[in-house]
Amino acid sequence: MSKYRFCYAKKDEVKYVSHLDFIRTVERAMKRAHFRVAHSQGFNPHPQMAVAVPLSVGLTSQCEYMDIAFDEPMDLKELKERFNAALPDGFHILQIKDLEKEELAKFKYIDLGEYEIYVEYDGNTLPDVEKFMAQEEIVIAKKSKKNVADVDIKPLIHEFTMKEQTDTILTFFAKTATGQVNLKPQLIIEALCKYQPEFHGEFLSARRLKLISTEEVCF
Amino acid sequence: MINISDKILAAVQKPTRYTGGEMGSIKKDANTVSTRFAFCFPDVYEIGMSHLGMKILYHLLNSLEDVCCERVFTPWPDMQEKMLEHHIPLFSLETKEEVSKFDFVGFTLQYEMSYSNILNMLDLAHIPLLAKERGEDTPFICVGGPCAYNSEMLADFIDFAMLGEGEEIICEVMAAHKVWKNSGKSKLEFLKTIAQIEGIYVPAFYDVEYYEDGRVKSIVPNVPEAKEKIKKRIIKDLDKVFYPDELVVPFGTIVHDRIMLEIFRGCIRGCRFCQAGYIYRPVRQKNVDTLLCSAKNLIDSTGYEEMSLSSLSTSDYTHLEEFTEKLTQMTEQEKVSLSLPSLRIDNFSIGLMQQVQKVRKSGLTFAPEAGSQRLRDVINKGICEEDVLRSADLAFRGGWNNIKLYFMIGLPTETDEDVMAIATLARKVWKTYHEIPKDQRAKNLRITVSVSSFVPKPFTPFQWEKQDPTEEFVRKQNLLKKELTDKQISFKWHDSKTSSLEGVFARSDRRLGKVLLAAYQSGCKFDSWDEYFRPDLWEKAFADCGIDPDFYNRRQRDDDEIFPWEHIDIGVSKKFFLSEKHKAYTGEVTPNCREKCAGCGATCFDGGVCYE
Repeated sequence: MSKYRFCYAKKDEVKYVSHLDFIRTVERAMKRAHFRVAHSQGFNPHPQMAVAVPLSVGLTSQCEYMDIAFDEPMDLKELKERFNAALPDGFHILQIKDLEKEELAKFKYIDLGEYEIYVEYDGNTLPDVEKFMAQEEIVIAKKSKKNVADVDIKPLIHEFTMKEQTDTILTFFAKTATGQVNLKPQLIIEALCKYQPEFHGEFLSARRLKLISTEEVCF
Repeated sequence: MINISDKILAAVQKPTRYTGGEMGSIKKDANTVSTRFAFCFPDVYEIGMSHLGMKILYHLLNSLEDVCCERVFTPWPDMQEKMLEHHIPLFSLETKEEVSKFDFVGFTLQYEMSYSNILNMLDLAHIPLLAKERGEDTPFICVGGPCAYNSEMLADFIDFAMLGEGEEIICEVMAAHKVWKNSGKSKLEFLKTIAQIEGIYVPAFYDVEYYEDGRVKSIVPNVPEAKEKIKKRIIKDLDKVFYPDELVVPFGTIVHDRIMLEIFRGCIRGCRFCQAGYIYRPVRQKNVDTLLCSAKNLIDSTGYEEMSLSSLSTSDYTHLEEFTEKLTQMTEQEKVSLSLPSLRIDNFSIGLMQQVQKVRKSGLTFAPEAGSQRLRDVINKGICEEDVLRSADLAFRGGWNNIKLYFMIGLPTETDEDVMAIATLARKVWKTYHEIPKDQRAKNLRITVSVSSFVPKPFTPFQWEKQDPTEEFVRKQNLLKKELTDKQISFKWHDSKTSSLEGVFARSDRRLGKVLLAAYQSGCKFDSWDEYFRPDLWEKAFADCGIDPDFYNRRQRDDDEIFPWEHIDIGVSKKFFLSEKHKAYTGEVTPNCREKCAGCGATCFDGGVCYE
């Protein structure tokens, strides 16, 4: 068995494709490309693959990762070309790494992510990001499947700054908890609007720039 | 091109319904083609994308160098709200072009309850609803599909209908359009030109006169170009006709999320309630090599993990054993799972299903349609109780424990005894299971009795029949509810109000157009969705227009009544339907097309089963 790690981009045209739909899309692309993918055993065999830290619907990314096991060794250049030809526009394999001597990792060491966040605003009042970050706590109502609970998201925000501004759009940079503990970028904007009601902003989308492991485990 | 902002897409359910870009979708540069066709399915994406006819015609039209075809579905109400709020007109998925900018806006009519969505979509596209109010710069609005055979209810809204199988006729219309586009002639001239193509129906070219009581007195062409009778089109040789080698593969799951392989068209059976059994006559099938070639191409191009055979009755495919043997070899090798719908249960099919269904989670469906033998003979179902029980026995011994039984209530001549016989048959199936020794059957028996309400359809022997009133359907459903109390038998039924309205639409005449308009304007849309169906608004629309729905579905028609669809010719004669109707009353069965030709008239197409 040969294992490979794929770094890929999820661009604008497919940013509303959910994680599960993406998995299915990749499986079908691999069938189209006639890859000999390793399958799990059992009644309902499915390709052996793992995706790092699923991206929320509506976000783009330039740094997604997935591991896939193949029945035969592949030429990396050819693998990339054939994979990209079989994937729909918007999903693009950027790099492939041979994992021959490693285990198929579960990406469990990833704990941080860097994001660019795009926000539409009225062009008048800018938010005071420093003041926002200087707060002791940032409490926001977080919806889960079952209920809504007040959560302090301050410990999850490692960095938050404003990068660019036009008359209508503000671009922020954020470094936040990503992985087993996860903070959706839109929640920061929601909190910013809550704490600074004079700022009229509306979350548009975000782009994931980088996934990080603070323990510096290679992934 | 329309830009749909993230704010909108992030706020609606399932945004990939509106974003396009799926694998297999085709985006052409509008400047390189002469004709742009917006293929509209008047329902939500997941339903429309499951429709085989659309897949075929989409890829066929895009295979023409001068034509581009793009898909349009009815936006779900949450999206419609956003579109109205942000002044976004209806757009196509491929290039996000406004639908009103296309040359043709074509709707496929798969079920009557989608009609209000057609007006809804035209309205969202900012296209005037009434044909007579549309100017020279608006698209041609056309329809096709099974309900187009009687689309009189839509006569005020459409420019033309294409009757029958679309592969040839639609290309002829596209060719005519290219010529017309450079001619500087009016839209009316174009319609007169295509009215001469066999299968094209331009409602405006016919005057309909009515008797005082509402029955049709005459239907007469009012231009020389219009044919006296419009005859449906069929594809004579299915081995030579276009079949797509690729499909649009959606990101999200759709209702039928798999490769559909059409093995034949039509049905030899002649069940008297079934419109599909008559309108697709004569039966024509594809040969094994054609099918295997399509199957391989589609597996390769789509990457789908599942394939399903498509036809009205898989078991009637004459090379089924040879074909399934070769096909299962291919699907096993390609790791594609195969589903085999509408198979009659016998030793061969049980073996086949055991082979393809490694995990037996899905149920088996039988459709006796009526509970008593008498009534099954009336509808010419051609199966007896023994067949059902033998099949059930085979299925239970083969490891199946989940069986669905489909029936109809309200069939012509039905008595309460016939209704109760549904419960009796279900109990006999139950008994069949329990008579099998425990070690030879699967555990946890589950029988589902599903009962729908009969809707008389045009172009069937029952087109003269009155339909049961809503209350009668409910009463019969309640009779069964009381009978079917066993824990292992569950009972499901259809909403009878929907069936009643469907009955009105199915045998509509042109006067119902104003009711449709009034109902739509009062808020009716997505009528086939329980959560949006508003029978109260429909009732009000009928009352406001002074039209009695009972005239359409509660009236027994005389043998010689002129139907609103009298000028449409599906190849099966009215004389044949009439004789079938009278045979039905005496319970006389008609053999299937392969046993003995019944002389229905479909020989006029010079092909298919009639000449086997």
